[in-house]
Amino acid sequence: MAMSSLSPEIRPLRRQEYDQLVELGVFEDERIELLEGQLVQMSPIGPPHTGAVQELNMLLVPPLVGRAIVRIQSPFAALDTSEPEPDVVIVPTGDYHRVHPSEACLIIEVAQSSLRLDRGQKQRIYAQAGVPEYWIVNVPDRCIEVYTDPGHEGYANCHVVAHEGSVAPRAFPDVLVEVSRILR
Amino acid sequence: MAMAMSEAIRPLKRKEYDRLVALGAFVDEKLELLEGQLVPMSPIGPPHSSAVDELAELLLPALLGRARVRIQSPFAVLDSSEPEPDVAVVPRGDYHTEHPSQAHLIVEVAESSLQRDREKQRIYAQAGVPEYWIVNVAGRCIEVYTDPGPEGYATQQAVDCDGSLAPRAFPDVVVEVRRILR
Repeated sequence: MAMSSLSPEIRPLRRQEYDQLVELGVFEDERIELLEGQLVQMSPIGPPHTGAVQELNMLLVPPLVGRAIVRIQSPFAALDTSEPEPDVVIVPTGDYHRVHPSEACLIIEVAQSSLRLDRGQKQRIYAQAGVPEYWIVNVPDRCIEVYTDPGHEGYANCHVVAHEGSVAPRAFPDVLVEVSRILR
Repeated sequence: MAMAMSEAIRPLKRKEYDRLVALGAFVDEKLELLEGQLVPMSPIGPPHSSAVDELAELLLPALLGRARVRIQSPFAVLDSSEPEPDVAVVPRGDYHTEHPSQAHLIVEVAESSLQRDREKQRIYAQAGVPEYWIVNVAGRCIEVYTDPGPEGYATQQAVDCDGSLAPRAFPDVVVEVRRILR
């Protein structure tokens, strides 16, 4: 496909336009995210991915009830031209019936085959959106990558929490996540 | 603008683009949908506009009742492209509810858009448009592309300022290049 040769300037599709198409039901049978003005197909989800997301859900929801909302695979209104659907997003309590959240305390992506995308474009998008903390649950390497200090180019800091380790969101230091529980 | 991750890019489809157009999403913008991407159109200068005017004056009367000459109107090529060629000679018909998807001849006038118009030939060829002209303002000639295939037009020739040419479908409609490019 790729009209990249043809595109000194491509006009990115905007989130607002994307949302209108979603509302019209045009993407009903597709798994798509809007990333930097492009429609991007989401990779299929395998059992280790689903398992990790479920564990995170069970671990995070109870201690955060009343303090934050844990959303699973829901759209996040990151930027004017991006609307990703992170695996887990912890957002401030509020009413999101009409608009998707645009602020988050923590975003988590579980990466089985999507590592390159999650470390590259997604990492940049979340940092640009000012999300203070971003985790990648790295399924093949059995660890969690923790990104902090967001800036325009991406997160300035990254450290890896190994399979025997544990990690807590900066915003909720009491909510301890053991890596071995997420990645069996 | 991140083309690095492009392996999984899902092109915007023409029918989706049309719905956004209908919703007024691009009201203040001049865009074309080219192979699933929104592409801003280059601004049009006086030589460009005049060449289009001359083509319209020449083609319209000669083709009245035989074909429809559309100026800078959307053309529904392929599933994920909707360019707005400067001139499209299309079969007669009712296009009130849908843009035409077939043409006898497409003409683009290229002032600053030469490279893009040459790349567009792939789109028009894939759509099966039998003949494509680029009025090359800087090169003072008309480039004629014929024999469309999936990779583009197989045959290309240039007619310079002293020459003339006619659409294959309407050989009686002779266009003198110097009348289009002063």
